[in-house]
Amino acid sequence: MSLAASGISIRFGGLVALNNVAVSVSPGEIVGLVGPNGAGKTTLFNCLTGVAQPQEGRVELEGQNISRLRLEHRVRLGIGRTFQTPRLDLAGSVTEAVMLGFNPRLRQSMFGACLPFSPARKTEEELSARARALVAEFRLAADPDSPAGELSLGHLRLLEVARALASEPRYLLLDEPAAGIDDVDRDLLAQTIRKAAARGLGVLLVEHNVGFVADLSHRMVALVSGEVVAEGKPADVVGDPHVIAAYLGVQHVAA
Amino acid sequence: MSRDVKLWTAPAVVVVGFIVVMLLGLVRPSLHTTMFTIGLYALIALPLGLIYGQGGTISLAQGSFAALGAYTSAILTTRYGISPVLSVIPAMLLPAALAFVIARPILRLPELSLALVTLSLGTVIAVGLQRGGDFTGSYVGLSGAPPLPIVGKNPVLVAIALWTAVLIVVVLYSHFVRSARGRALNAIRVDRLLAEAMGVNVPFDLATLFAVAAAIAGLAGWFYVHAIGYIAPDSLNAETSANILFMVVLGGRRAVLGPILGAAFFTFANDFLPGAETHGLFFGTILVLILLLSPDGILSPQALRAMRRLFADRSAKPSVRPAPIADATEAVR
Amino acid sequence: MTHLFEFLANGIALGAVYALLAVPMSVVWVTTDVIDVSTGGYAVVAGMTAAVVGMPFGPVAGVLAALALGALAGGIFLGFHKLRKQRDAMLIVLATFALMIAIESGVLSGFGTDNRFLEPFPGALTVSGAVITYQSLFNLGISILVMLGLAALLKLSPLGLQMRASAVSDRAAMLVGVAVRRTQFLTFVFCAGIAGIAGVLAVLAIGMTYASTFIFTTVAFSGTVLLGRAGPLPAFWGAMLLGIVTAVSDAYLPNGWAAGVPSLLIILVLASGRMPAAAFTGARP
Repeated sequence: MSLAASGISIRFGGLVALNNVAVSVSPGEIVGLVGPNGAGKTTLFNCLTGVAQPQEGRVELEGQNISRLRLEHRVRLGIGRTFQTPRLDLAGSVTEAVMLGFNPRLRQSMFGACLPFSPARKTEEELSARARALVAEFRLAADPDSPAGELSLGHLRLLEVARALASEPRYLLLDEPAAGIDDVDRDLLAQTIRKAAARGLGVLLVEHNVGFVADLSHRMVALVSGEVVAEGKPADVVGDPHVIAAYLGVQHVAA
Repeated sequence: MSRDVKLWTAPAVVVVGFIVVMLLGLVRPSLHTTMFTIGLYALIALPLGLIYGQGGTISLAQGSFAALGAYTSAILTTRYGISPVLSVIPAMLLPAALAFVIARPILRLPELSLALVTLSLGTVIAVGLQRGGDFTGSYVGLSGAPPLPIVGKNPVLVAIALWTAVLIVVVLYSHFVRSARGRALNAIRVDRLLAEAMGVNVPFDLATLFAVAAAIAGLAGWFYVHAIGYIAPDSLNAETSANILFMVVLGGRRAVLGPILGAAFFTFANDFLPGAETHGLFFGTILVLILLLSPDGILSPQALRAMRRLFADRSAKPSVRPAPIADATEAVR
Repeated sequence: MTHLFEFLANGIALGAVYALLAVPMSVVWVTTDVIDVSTGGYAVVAGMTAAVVGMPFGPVAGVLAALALGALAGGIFLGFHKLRKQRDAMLIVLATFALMIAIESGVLSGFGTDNRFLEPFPGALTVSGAVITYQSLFNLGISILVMLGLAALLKLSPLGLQMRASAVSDRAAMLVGVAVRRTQFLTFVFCAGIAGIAGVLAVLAIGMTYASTFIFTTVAFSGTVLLGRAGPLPAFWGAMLLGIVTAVSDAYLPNGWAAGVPSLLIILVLASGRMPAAAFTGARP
């Protein structure tokens, strides 16, 4: 019972981005994915979510092979993700931005959406209320109807997380959610991730801030130049010589 | 409650506007014919407003889909004696089917590509209609189409029938944009990857909307041919599609009423501008200016927000300061 | 067999004129991410002006008129980049579309609906039974000359270097000090001039009306995308191929169907997905 990628290899032209990489997340587990710039972390994310197609390897969701499925299909199966650069309608309101997150779980037909006095109307009210609750919980904005473009980058990142959670996913993939946010919000983020895992979500997060990830994760995976060089308990991975060498340079490896 | 008001504002404006103009028409009967023209354009333009304003995709084939609808009905009624009441269905389904089939492969590509392909589609359809021999009446077109059922040729009744259709479309459009599917479409416009990450099947949704737009254009074509009695290749063509795009951009692609406003402006301008040849100069220049200065048209989101604030200030309610965060949390449990 | 040869020859002559429409459109596209829909308009204005002014100054007047319109388009382009933080070329393309509508209307108002033409070079030569007019050979010659000139400009001149830099990445070019906006403006202008030459050749060879505006633009775009890659060289060969296909269709298809060939090819090429999506997104992240 997990989201697992195995034997993933992907090349872009002559560049090998990932070479025989395996990673998995189980329900309730927080897995941290670290590595220097260009290591292939986002590419691995893209392979897990269906944005990129690896030449070799497979992705399985609770035993089911989802390698051939497109992003929107995987999302509806219960994989939620955020993006490194927040993607949302900056002109719309904060509430509407969060409401979009409910879409993967909805079964609304185009026909039903147009009709007055249809169930879609009730749905709108419920979703609006739930979205406002999320906006309040994440302290995204004082006025939930203000334009999303007025939010700071840190709050935009939190909004992405809130939106991803709105779809009640089974697995949550966060792409550098903590970059650029202040200490208070980072604590809120850490709290949110722990609560989500406690509720049974499997969380995979990519982060540069190794300290943040080490505190939070149950397990860590270190990726360097497209290969897994270390895996296991956070303390072990952080202390692994290959990891240190990759981040700080060979001469800094402690004797 | 305020939600519901927003949903019915546009339809209310349409009803009121229609009644006002029709009453004015008692004094000046040509207004009834003008309302017919505006209504026709509005019917063809509204779906484009949805696809472009909400979905970010441009179709320059709406005029040609209307032509297909008109020709389908004309052929079925004049050649095969089918009643207009029945021929309306194929008049809507044929353009829809063609649109859906064409859309799937090309909607994979960004908007620019779709716009140019739809424009080319218009040319191909026009050539086909012109070369269709007796079946399509060649360059001359087809005449002798029977009048609309029930309303016949009475200009007032015809206008009422047409604008009822417009009103229905406006109601459906207004409700659609304030629904989860409407939000999904908006997401497609903002960022396709975002839409996919929210579980939206982008090619399918766009193709469906494209087909629906074609069907409504086909309906407009049906109205056209049975109200006027004939159809020629030049009646509804690529030039019509370009005019429709103009109406949507000028009136406001992000507002439900935008295309209708654009249709009204276009029709009245046509009536008042001297000489048909110079129309293009006038409309072309306006279009460039609008694109430069206010790409979201006259009824842009900013303009609408300013209008709403204007009305909100006038109301008797005291202004509400945003609630402190703790209260908000309690209020929603 | 001689018939086929004659149609091929006609096709090549036609392709030569088409190339002078497709190539400038593709150069503007690659340098600015904008598809200049008014390309056909430049050609028609040049041709009409040439026809009205007559020889010997007509062609010059025509090309000058085209250059002026190109400057207008370039100005609109600059206006967009100044006023709006656009990363999306769609609005500018729509503006060129509006410009085309305006030009077409202007031509209609100024020159009426008549078919206009200039007296072509008289005479023709016969090669194994096929009749090839001197005008066709002249068109082909001019077209090749212009292509060589353009190639020289792009490869050897400073402006050409700046154009190629802007085409690769306008931001990067700006960072290394290339006057990108000015380069792009000039690109609009002299590409309009090339289209103007096409118009003059067309008015000599086949004549034109105001309606040719849209037809020429369609031809330009069809040639540009036909070989599935963006760029002046694919556009040149695409236009040649288009000319041949059109001439042969005109000969073998029922009367009038050939008019739909360029449009049909656009649909087929783009619908087949052979044109990479990246060619259309340009600056978008």
